[in-house]
Amino acid sequence: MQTEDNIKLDKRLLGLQLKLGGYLSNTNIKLENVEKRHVQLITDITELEKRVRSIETNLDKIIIKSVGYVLTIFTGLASFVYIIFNIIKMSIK
Amino acid sequence: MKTILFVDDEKLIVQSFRELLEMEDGSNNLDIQTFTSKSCGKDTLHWIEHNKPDIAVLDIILNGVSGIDIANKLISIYKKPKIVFLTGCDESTAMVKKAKDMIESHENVSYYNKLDDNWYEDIIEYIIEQTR
Repeated sequence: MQTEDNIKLDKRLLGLQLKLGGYLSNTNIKLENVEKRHVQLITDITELEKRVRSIETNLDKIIIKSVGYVLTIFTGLASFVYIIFNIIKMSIK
Repeated sequence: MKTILFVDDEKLIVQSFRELLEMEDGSNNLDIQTFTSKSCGKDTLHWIEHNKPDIAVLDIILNGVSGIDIANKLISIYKKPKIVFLTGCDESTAMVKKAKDMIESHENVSYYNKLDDNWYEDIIEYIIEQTR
């Protein structure tokens, strides 16, 4: 059972919808088209979010790989320097 | 049972108007026939061939068939039909001028602009007054 306040509120809302419809008629904008565009924009935003997340994941992978390569190169270089150092040390002896 | 015909290509207006009219009427004495699809003008022309509305509320500018065309057909089929023209356009528009000419040359024809304050209240009041 609707209270009197609810009925008044419903009537006010319907009145506002009718006013909005009137303004839309004047601007030649169809609410249906606005709704379609709204749905399309939400879909586009969701798609963009997915792409950004995918780029972030790829970037994380690249950073981890780069760190791995840098560490490998440093370890290699350190080993090389250590070997050279030992060779020089042995040849001096 | 009185039949009200409401034709407008803006769905929001048709749905809201129907709900508000039903709420304001309260007598359940109204049969509200609405047309709002892209072909609403054509559908209405077909409908009025077999049905006589007690009051017809017509948006002037529709897709293809205009409110003026529907009014002309109503006038040609029925005697002195009660017609309410609706528009959201400027009053200098050719179609609106045609509607105003029709008001001058025919009885029971009126006009409301959807940009006016509370246009819907005036139409609902008119419908309730005329159908009591």
